[in-house]
Amino acid sequence: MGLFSKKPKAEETAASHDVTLSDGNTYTVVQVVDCIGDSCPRPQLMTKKTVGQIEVGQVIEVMVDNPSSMEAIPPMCDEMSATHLETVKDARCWKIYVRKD
Amino acid sequence: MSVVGECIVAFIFGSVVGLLVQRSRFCNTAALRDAMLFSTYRNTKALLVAMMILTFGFTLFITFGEGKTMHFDVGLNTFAGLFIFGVGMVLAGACTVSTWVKAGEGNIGAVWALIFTFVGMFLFSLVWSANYWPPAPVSMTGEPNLEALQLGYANAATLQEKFGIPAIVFGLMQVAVLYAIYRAILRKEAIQAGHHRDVAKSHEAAAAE
Repeated sequence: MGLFSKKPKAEETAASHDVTLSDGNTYTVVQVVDCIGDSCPRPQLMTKKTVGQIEVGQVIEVMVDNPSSMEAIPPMCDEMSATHLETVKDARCWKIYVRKD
Repeated sequence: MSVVGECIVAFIFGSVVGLLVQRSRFCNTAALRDAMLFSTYRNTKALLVAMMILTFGFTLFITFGEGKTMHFDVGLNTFAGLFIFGVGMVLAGACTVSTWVKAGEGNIGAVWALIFTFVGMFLFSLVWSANYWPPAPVSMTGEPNLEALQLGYANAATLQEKFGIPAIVFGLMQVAVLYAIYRAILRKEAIQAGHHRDVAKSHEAAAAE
């Protein structure tokens, strides 16, 4: 990223896919929230917005490379009426799986 | 202690604090912002604990210590400055402490915020006497003038000096208030978790039918 460059796109919605987490269950991810490169509190705001849009029982995947946001999202879940399923460390980001309850 | 010795001590303590702040991910901005924006209190609790320890230690030093206690001049300028700082820190995404940490981690936005912190501090220093309230000539007389600087009896050191009540008494009172806020946050978190459990259960029951 250059010093003056503008971030091309903050959020991107990928097609839904299935993911198997360490609890052995397979979940269908309905929306991917791409927050790579975003600093606090944007990933939290995007997560809250997306959780507000999805249906009960659906799962979203939040991609985040900001450690403070990665740690801040799971404690937000009670307040959003959602459950933090798992945070998976990927090659260049963390993938946080959140289910709306 | 010589000037060089003071610099070395300051460097060591600064480095230790920097390391702790970076590793703990402690963030003053998040402590206040997340409480208002998301009703989450992860950092707020840490801030309250830090304030409790600081208040106790600080007033203990005022009461029994013989070192150099720091004196902050509190005036209306402080309130105005803190408000502006609060707005700025949310816009910049971090307070000065986290900005340093983020800049060290290679965050370009934080480097910009840091550069303009210096620019802003320099510009404010040019109008220091003009924006200082109570007016600088009245309060900065070269003699201790605590009433003018602290809007009356504003801190534990002044109260100890004027009335002979040890500063630690006021410190403990403040710690008690902070602890009450901490307990209130724990209660609120328990209510949030309970509410979430109820909502999840009702959805499960609806799905089962």
